[in-house]
Amino acid sequence: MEFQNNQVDTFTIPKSEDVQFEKLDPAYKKVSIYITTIIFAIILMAYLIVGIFVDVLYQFPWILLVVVTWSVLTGLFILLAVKGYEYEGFAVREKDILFQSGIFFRSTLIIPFNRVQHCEIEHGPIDRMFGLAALSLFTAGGSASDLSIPGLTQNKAAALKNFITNRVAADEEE
Amino acid sequence: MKKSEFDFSVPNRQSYVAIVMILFKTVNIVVRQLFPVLVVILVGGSKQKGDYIIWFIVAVSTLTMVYSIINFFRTYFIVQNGELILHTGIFSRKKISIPFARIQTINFEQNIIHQFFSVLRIKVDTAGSEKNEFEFHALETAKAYALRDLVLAEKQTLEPIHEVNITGIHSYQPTFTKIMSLSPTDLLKVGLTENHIKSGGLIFLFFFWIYQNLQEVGVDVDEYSEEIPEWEMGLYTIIFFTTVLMIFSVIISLIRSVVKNYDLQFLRSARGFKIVSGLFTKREVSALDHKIQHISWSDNLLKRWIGFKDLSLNQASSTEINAKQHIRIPGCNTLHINQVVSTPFGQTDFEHFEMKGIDKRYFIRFSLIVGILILVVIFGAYFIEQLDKIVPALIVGIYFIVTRYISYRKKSFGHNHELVFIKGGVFGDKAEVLPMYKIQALEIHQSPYQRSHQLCSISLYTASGRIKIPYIPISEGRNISDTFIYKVESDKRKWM
Repeated sequence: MEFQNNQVDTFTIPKSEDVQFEKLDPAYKKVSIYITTIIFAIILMAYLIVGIFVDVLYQFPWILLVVVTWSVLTGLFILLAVKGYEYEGFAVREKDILFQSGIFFRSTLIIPFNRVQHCEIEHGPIDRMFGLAALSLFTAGGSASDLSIPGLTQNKAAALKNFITNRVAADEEE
Repeated sequence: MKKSEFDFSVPNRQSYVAIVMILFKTVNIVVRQLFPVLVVILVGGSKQKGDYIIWFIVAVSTLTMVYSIINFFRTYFIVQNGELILHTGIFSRKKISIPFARIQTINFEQNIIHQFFSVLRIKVDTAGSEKNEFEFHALETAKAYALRDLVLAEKQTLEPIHEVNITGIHSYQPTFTKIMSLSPTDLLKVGLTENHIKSGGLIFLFFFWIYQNLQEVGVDVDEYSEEIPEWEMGLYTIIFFTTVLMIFSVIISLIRSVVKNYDLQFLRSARGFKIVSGLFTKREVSALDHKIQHISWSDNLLKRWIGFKDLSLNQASSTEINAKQHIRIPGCNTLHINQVVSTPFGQTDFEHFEMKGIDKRYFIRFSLIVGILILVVIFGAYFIEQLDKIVPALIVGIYFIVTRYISYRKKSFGHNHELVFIKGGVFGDKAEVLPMYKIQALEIHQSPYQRSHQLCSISLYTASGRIKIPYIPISEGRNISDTFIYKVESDKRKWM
């Protein structure tokens, strides 16, 4: 094949701005709340267990302070988990996948399919309770550029993985 | 192809010199790791304890040595069906097979002992994970070269498609043309213009580390220092110590640089670059064209004065971003750089590249935050009546703000139909060139502040690290993202 490098009309380049982002499954909101709650419950448990051996931790000003801080932080993180759902979304185009996230610090990651090294589906115990899965895409650009799309129904995750795998394979054949 | 006089189809072992190397390496590691302990034992502390520690060290090192030597006799390699197969291990035998096509580079290294016995340390780099790489402590020089020629020749026949083959497939003989080499005067110049502040920091850390280690084992350093008469910490003392530290920094960075870059040869082969250098340890590193992801060069105030730049060839690293994958070549000038960049990336005129600056809020935002922090520190110092802290805080704050301003003024970016070019730097100049099709992923970031001013930052992820374009208008950011992504998706060239 002869190497070609033609001039491109910049108006015909597809614009990522026009893309419609698809929301994650609503059940994912619950998953986030569960996970946040479990993490905070573990932190509290650890405190209480240590408290059995260290008397000070159960005494008056400390225990009150800890419980108040704990409740505020738990509430805050649950709120963030719920709010974060509003800002997370993905879009699949013919040749790439886009994922946006972040409540305050927003970001949009674009990964072309012809740069995907491999992809896999992960489902943790809580994901499974709600029939959800996460799709992870790996590139050669280091861990910061790897993408994990959470909150997909298991069917959708499988379909997406299939689609992307086919795309990657098609690209390699060319 | 010339038939080599070595038969690699039968098991080949390392040279017996490898045993010497293993012994040497063990002693080296022991001394390096246990340096603080040894210092402590020599300086003082309990005699009895010292004896136990020494016996323990001797026992452990002897065991590792014996293990390594047995392993030496159980390690060999064979070349079979276009694969390099390595057998190793004492208790659990391991077989590593590397197809030639997967071999990225074969690097050689030669320290004084190697040179004396005319052997080489050989390291085979693959595109896969770390586990599949292997290293021989010592292999006879002729044999090592024969092995490399064999692998490269076979590799050439396996994938002759996307490379312009100059030497022809069947008579593969690596030929090298010289791009540049460092003469003794250049070497001296390179050494004298290194970043001395870094060496100064290293010296400082070194003494701090010894001090801490001595304290940890109970040697009262402060007690010893009481014997030194109390010095007036006057201006002269400070000037004296600063001068001594500066002189030592310069000497140390000069020595480090000379040891590393002695007799540096920067060579070009048909498919890549080769760099040979080193005084005690002769290093030979190869960078193949297709493995180079982006090229960068930089200088500092001193280097700019004599027209030297550090060139860096950044290769794809399969595992993590690894310092080894960034090959640094000091003492290049603009001509060398143009020549090197044009080879894998095509002829480009960087002097007349259309560049755009970044938004001034890159500077304003940062100065505001630093300004507020400094104010807080000053008020804090005022209230706890430590007025002497105010001046240093102000100096640090002003330093940060001024350097940020310079960095804002110097930062610029641009692209043509093929390359992304990013310039920057604070005291020196820095430049990075990246072909668009080598981008692996792209991210557009927006902080709340950037959002309210219609700005964004762009991260370009490559297999050799991340390149950032900060604080540009969001419309511009979307535009270049779309262009870059379009280029990646429509370009059929292999990125590695």
